[in-house]
Formats: sequence, C-alpha cells, structure tokens
Amino acid sequence: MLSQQILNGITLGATYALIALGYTMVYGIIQLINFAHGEIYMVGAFVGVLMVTVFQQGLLVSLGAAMLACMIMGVTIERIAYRPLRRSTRLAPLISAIGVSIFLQTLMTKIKGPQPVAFPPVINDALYKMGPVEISKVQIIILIVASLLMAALHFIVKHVKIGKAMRAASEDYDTAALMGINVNQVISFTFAIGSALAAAGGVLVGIYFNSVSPFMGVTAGLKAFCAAVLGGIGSIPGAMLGGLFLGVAETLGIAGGFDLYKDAIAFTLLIIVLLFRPTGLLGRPIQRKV
Amino acid sequence: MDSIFSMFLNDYYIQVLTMLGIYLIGALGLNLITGVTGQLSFGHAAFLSIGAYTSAILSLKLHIPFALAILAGGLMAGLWGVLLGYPTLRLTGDYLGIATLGFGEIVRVVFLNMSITGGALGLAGIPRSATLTAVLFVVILTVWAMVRLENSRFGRSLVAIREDEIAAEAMGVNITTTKIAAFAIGTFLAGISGGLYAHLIQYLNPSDFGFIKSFEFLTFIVLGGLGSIPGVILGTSVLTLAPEFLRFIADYRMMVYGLLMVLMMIVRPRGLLGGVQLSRLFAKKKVQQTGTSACGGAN
Amino acid sequence: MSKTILELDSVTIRFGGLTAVDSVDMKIEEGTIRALIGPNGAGKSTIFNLITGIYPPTAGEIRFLGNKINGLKPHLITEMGIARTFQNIRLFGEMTVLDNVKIGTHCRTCSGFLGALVRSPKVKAEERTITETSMEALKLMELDHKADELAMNLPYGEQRRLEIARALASRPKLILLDEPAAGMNPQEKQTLMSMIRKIQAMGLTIFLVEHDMKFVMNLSDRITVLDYGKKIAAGSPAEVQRDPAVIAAYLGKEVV
Repeated sequence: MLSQQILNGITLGATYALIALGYTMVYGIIQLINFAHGEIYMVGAFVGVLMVTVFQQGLLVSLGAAMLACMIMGVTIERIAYRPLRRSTRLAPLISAIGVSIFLQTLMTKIKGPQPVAFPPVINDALYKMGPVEISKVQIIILIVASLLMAALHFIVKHVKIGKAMRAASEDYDTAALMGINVNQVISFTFAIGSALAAAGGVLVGIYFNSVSPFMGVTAGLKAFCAAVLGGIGSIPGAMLGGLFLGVAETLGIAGGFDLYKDAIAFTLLIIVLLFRPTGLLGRPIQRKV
Repeated sequence: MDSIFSMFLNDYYIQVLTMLGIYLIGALGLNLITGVTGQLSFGHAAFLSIGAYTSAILSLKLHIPFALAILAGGLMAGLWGVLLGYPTLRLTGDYLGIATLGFGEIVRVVFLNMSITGGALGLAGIPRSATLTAVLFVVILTVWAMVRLENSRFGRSLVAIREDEIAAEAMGVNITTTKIAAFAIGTFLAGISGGLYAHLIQYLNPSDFGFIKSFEFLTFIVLGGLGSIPGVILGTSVLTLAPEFLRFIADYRMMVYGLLMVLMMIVRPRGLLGGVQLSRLFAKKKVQQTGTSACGGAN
Repeated sequence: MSKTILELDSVTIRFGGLTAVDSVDMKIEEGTIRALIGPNGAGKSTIFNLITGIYPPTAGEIRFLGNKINGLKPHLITEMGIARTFQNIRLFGEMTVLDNVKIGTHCRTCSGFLGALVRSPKVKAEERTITETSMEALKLMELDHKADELAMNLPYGEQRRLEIARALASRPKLILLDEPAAGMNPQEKQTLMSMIRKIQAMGLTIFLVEHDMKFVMNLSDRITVLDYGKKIAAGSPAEVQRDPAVIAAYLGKEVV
C-alpha cells in the first residue's frame, strides 16, 4: 500500500519537477519569479488537446507540438514583457508577469470556456502488476518522458555550449556578460527550455488526470514553484528533487487523511524548509555581503 | 451623511466608491510593508480574510457592535502578522515573499475547512454596516496616520531599512522589531479592510482571498508608485475603477487589464508617481530628479 | 596614562576554510587616531565588521570600555557608542541628506509609532533635538547647504562625508572610518583631514582604514599593519615605515 502511494507520488512529483525546472532556471539567471510559467503549462496542455482532437495526432507528435508552441510563446513573453524591465526595480517584472498570467488565463477562458475539457484517450488504461504495486501505462509513460527530458536537460547544461553559458550566467550574470557570453541569447534559450518542459508537464498531467482547464496553471504553478524553492531555487537538481519530494509528500498526506488540506501540504512544507534552511535542500547558503 | 451621498450618486456608484475606500485601506497597509519598509509580501489577502472572517463571525454570532467587530478583525490580523513576521522577517527579499505566499495559501485552505467559516459554502448574511461614510472616515484616518509617519523617527527608520538594511542596523536601528512593527501595522490595516469588505459584500468565501487577491494589492501599490501615498491612492483608484470603465468591452476586460499591467510596467516601471511624498509636495522644495515627470500630475 | 577604549583579544574569524582574521590583538587609547593598513584582502574591513557586530568572531574577545561586545547585535553596539562608515558607501539613497543623518540619532532617541501619530510636546521637542543634532553634524562636515538634496544625488566625496556626518549623529565615543578618503582628490583629502582632526578635538577616538599612505602617516597617532589576517606590525607612523615586515608585505618580497 505504501509503495503504491510512493509510486503515485513519484508520478505526480515528476510533473511538478518538469514545471519547477522552468521556475528555477529563470530565477537562477534573472532572479525573476516568472508567475506566468503556470499559464505556459496550461497552454501546453491545451495545445496537446488540440493536436489530439483536431489534428488526430498521437502522443509523441502532440507532445512535441505542445513543447514547440510553448517554446515560442515563452521566448516571446520574455522579449515583450520582461526584457524591457531588466534594469528596473525587482517588482516591475513581477507585476508584468502577473499581467501576462491574467491575460493568458482570460484569453484561454475566452477561447475554450471556463469549464474543464477532457483529454481524449491517447493511451489505453492498461494496468501492470509489479509485485505489490500496480502501475498504469499512463504512469509508465509519464515517468519515461519526464526522465528522458530531465536527462536531456542535464546533458545540455553540462555538455552543450549554450547550456554551459546558461550555468555561467546563473553563477554570475555580469561576469558572464563581460566574458563575451551573449546573455540575451542565453536568457531566451532558458525561457525556451523551461517553457518546453512545462508544456510537456501540461500534456502529461492532462492525460493523467484526464482534465484540462484554463485555471489549471494557478495551483500547479504555485506548487511547482514551491518545489523549486524546496529544492533550492536556482538549482536544477534541486528542482527535480523538490518536485519528487513534494509529489510524494502530497500523496502520502492525502493517504494519511489530510485530503482536505491537500493544497496546504506544499505550502506548509515550504514554510518549514524556509525557516530552517532558507535556501532550500540543495541551495547554497547566503553569505552576508558588507 | 450617507443620505447626502445618495442624493448625488446612485447605489451602484456608492457601492463602487465604498469598495475603492476599502481597498485603499488595505493597499496603504501593504504599502507600509512593501513600499515603505521594502519587505515583499505576497500574502496580503490572507490578512484581509483573517480580518473579514473574525469581524463577520463576531457580528453574526455574538452581535458585537460594528466598529468593535472591525477593530477586532484588524487586531486579529495584526496578531497573525506578528506571529508570521517574527520567524520570517529575518528572511531576505524574495524568500520573505515566498513565505508569505505560502502562508496565504495555508490560510485559505484552513478557512475552506473550518466549520465556523462555513467552509466552501461561505459565510452569508453579514449585516451591511460598512457605509460610504464609515469607510471614508477610516480612509481619512489611515491616510492621516500614514502622512504623519512619513516624517517621524519611526517612519524614517522604516525607509532606512528599505534603503539599506545593514547600514540601518549599523546606525542603531533594531531591524527585527522595526520590521515586525511595520508588518503588524500593515496587516492590522489589511484586517480592517477585510472586516469592512465583509460588512459591505455581506458574504465571504475563502476563494475570494486567494493569491490573485494578494497580487491585486501589490499591483495597486506598484502601479501608483511604491512608497508614495498619492501613488497608492492613484494606483488603487485607477485599478479599482478601470474594470468598471472597461465594462464596454465586456468579456475582454480582464484580458485588456492584463495587457495594461504589462504596458504600464514597461512605460513606467517605477509607477505613475514613483518617489512622490505627499508632505513634500506641499513643502515647495526642490524634490528630486529621479525621473518622475508625473510629479506635477499629483498637484 | 590614557584609558583603553577598544581592545581586541586574539580575535579570529574563519569563513569556511579561510582564516580572514587570525588572532589579532589590539588596544586603542581614548582620544587617539589609529589607522589600520595592509594590502588588499588583508582583513581590514573584516575587523570593522567584527567590531560592529556584523560578523561574530570565531574565537577571541572584543571589549569596548572594558565590556565584552562580541555577540551583541549591531544596533546595540552602536548604542554603546561605536559608529562606522562603509568602504562601499551605504547611504539611504532615496532619503534626503538631512534624513540620512537623522537616522544616525536613532539610538539616542525613543519616540515610536504612537509618538508619530500623537505628536505630543515631548515628541515635538525630541524631533527638534534630532534636527538640531543632525544639522550640527552636517555643518561639521560642511554639508548643511545640501540638507534637502537626495543622498544619491551627491557627488562621491560628499557622500563619503555624509556617511561620517551620519555616524557622528549617533554621538559615538569611537568612530570607525572605512577608507574615508577613497576616490577623493588631494584638495578634498586635505579638507577631510582637518575635519577628522576636528572630530578628534571633540574628544572622539578615531579608528580608520585607509590606503592613501600620505593621508595615514600625516593623520594617525599609531598604526597597526595587517597582512593575510595577521598583525605584522604596530607603532608610530615613523616606526611602521621602517619596519622590514611592513616593507616586505607592501613590496611583495618573497619569503622563502
């Protein structure tokens, strides 16, 4: 029973991790909490539905299309709403992000209506028994896709030039710029990657819970953001760990009888972690600079 | 006095103006925390809801006089402000914001599951005691208090913390107690605002106090100009009235609202009246040169 | 024999593996001007941060007028009578020059939130005193004509002087100046030197970190030299100038 819950938790956590990565990468470089990120995830899910229903495509093509669409969207949002504000006060881009978020939410409500849409079945609901646990085909696919994407991200960040530039910019933005790294390009790239991962998360969650709605990005976005902070914001492995940790904690919490307080679990964990380890599980401690 | 108002304004406008006043009180509270003291709060709506539920329950269950119920709501919110502030105000910048955001969501879920608050069904039948006169009175009192703070020893220490925490500490400001005091006053005002809201709308639901509401307040103060009292008044007025004026585009108004927020930030990232102090507007001194061409607009 | 105002007793601080200040002993006599010099990264500013309570020392003790002060919060140390300026100017940029100095009086005054609202005669009187004290400090640093300007709009040299004025407003017994002359032209340095002498004449003890050797040698009664966190010499300007260890540290002689 416990192992079943943990498996369910890991599946949920993998989707949180996919969204959390976008928050953490963007924060790492430009110290912006991109509150529109949850909406990108939501749009991703809708693009997935569109591909499956209107264009009659299978899972992989739909997933790819959603990722590509959101990549473009993420980069565009950064260009229009955040880049002009890079040298202004900390709050300005935050407010701008909220504006984008409201815009996308209402736009989607206008197009698709406020009611949740069912995700058409692209995967059969086969169940496999593995010892004491049952795993559905959907869960297997979520775990595989999420692992592959995270492995790809890891490879990019460690071995590809632009990925290395990304790490450099997140380490020290100004020095990276002085060293000839085109930071604008790096930031665009970061938004592209983060948005693509969120879109994948959106499609997978849509399939998992068989529901997509214009408001799905709000709670999921906030929780994924919690996951990013839990793991240590700015840290890529931290976001993965934080996502999984949060997914498992939430599933166990529900199983343990706290289902009414489900949405508070993430935030309670968040506050506890912040109090005892303000920079998260894998974050670096802050040294006071005088 | 309410009868005088109703001679000139129809019920709808009175309702809108009362609401504006209520939001203004909450916004001035957040301005003290974020605009003046520089402590980021993403959980302001939680304190509104604490004040709203406290005062509503006192009115409904114990039939306590309106003014006392509102005051109790404010005090309860302020108390929670101190309880949250004590451990979290040592966190810096964004981390404080994140912690308050988490607190806001927890409060919402707790109210959703308590029986005394009516849970998801909400709390209905609250007496409509928040008249425009009453609200106006509180608004004037609040603005007066905030203006008095601007040039006081306490007020200066708040700004010093915003400007440079380490220097403020080195100059002898006890930053922990000062921040907590600012947080307590700001959340007290949020509680007052929430209590008045409950006694105007007559119905409370936890979903009205989600993080979107917290952000709405943040937008009020940032749009007008952080830390500036006329800025807060202008920002709150524009944003409370804008959806009303945008009614002609009906379904698209929230979309336009979102776009306007982005546009406003790009055009004036420091807000419409960024850096304008009420007391200095009348002091006829050379104010400053930090790019506030809209200064004249406030006169 | 004059009284010791500040005493460092084998004070050490480590950041991770780095020992930034290594068992430094020091005694400063009341009413004197003491300079702390040494190459970049020698730990000079760190010593200031230790004295003012920004960092707690890893080991050792710091005594001010005989009382142990390490472990106290910075604002309490200021209240006891130690004020400071910062190497990288830390003014309250969006406050006026006068308001910056007024913050300095914070630890000598007491009215709070309610006082601000009620403005009783007592509070008004206090506010008058605050303004007077602050204007005096500004006059001393020759900044009184700029009282209503925003601190961020002052030229660099004046910002440095404003920091000193702000520190003076807290009525300290000991004032720590972290590179007060940095970025000033020779003329400004001359003015600053006479200002510092005036402050000394008021009975204050001055402890300063400075790179400009001419400035230090002309002004200080005694000099302490730091290198790699260790005290390598101490004495009068003339003694320090002759000290081989100091010459080695500055000229980078290889010690094999």
